[in-house]
Amino acid sequence: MRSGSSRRRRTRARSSRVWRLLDLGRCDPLRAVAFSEAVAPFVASGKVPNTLMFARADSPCICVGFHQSPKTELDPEFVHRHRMPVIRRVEGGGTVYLDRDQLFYQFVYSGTGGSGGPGDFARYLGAIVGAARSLGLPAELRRPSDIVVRGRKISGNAGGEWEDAQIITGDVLGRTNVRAMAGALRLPHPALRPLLEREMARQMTSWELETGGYPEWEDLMRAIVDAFAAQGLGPIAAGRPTREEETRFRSETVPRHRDASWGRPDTSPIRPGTPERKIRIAGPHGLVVFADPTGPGYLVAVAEGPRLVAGYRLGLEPSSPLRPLPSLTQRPLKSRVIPPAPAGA
Amino acid sequence: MTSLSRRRTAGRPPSVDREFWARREPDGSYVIGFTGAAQRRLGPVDFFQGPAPGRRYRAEEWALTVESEKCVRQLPLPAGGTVVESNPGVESDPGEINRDPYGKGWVCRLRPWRTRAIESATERVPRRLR
Repeated sequence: MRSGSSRRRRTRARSSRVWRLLDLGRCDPLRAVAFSEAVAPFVASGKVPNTLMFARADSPCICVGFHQSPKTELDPEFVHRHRMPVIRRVEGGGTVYLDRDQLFYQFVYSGTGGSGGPGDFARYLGAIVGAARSLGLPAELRRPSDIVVRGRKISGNAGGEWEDAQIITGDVLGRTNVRAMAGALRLPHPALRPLLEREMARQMTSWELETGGYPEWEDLMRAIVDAFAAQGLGPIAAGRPTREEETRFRSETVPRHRDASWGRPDTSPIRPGTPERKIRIAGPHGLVVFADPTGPGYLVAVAEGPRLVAGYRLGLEPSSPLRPLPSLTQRPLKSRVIPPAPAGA
Repeated sequence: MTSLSRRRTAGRPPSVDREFWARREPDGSYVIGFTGAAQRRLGPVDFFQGPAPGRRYRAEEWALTVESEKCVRQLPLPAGGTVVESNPGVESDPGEINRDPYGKGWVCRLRPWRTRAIESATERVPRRLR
């Protein structure tokens, strides 16, 4: 026969599995991206439950992955002209442009030391996929962490560990602003900008492109919560940030993000043997730009994983056009690298 | 640059047993790297940030970050000690961790406080790879 105390222990254990739902609403981009960093230590210590957060940035911003260098990733002229805040998130992945036409979500949950990763992507992003399907979009997860509709990316996601907790972060694109997405990225030549825009438009989609409009964010959030529960990820109950989380955000998170030394130093030299520029657009799709080993200029490849689907040659002059180079796609990827600098150079 | 130790508050030492191999050097330090199985679990490594040379790390303290498949993971060293050297080659080309985990993909050289701790928490390098 089971004792009353063991029943109480089980009840406490069950109640501690109830997730907290935080809707930060429309807010400052830094709060939308980084409030999870203030939540993480309290989730890890068990003071607050695992938490699913929603937010919408009230103005555009650029968010770079934890290991990325803004100096090598971003177009300084674009950032300056649009007075665009640049936020370094604690999760991995590449540069993203965020604005009010996207729903931002984060799963913050306990677990360290190698937990997390692709297995957790499949587990938690199932709720996003399920919600999209319940609202009529034929969404599916493309490993490791993109959600795609008919092969085009509608949601990018990344993961990380922070203060002993795991965070999975991502966004659903209500509407895409390809010009801003492509404009924010550093490119070695202006002729690459229209190519990048074209490839982004080809590989990415949005709720609006798929259905002609996007749902009320409240409806999508409700659908995500329903799918989360339906997939057995745990019961979930609406909550609010605690006073300690707010204090930590103001006193620790915000100052850290305003500290110029936050994150990795901007020392990512282009080393011999690496491409001049590599931009991942969606999953295995992207652009790779190499110095042309046969003369001044660049070779440009449109890549789908290890497969090259189009190639171009480009001169150094800003006015030089992209010239199709079909033979580029017939050579192995490894041979198109910058030759090592001569000794003493 | 952000000190990795700032990223950690308190908590349980995560288990890194058998994630690393270790090879004793004549000066008593240990060269450490990810095992073949660990690098397969990580997947293709995109970024690696190693421990700071000259710094003392406790056994449970975050010392390095690895990013693979869009996930940033923080890991402690397999034992506490002073980092003698970090491999700059894997910071600039993290793919070495996958391509040659027992060779060019080594992570750092550590002078452990307790020899037994590192030997019990790591794998020996397979004889054919020594």
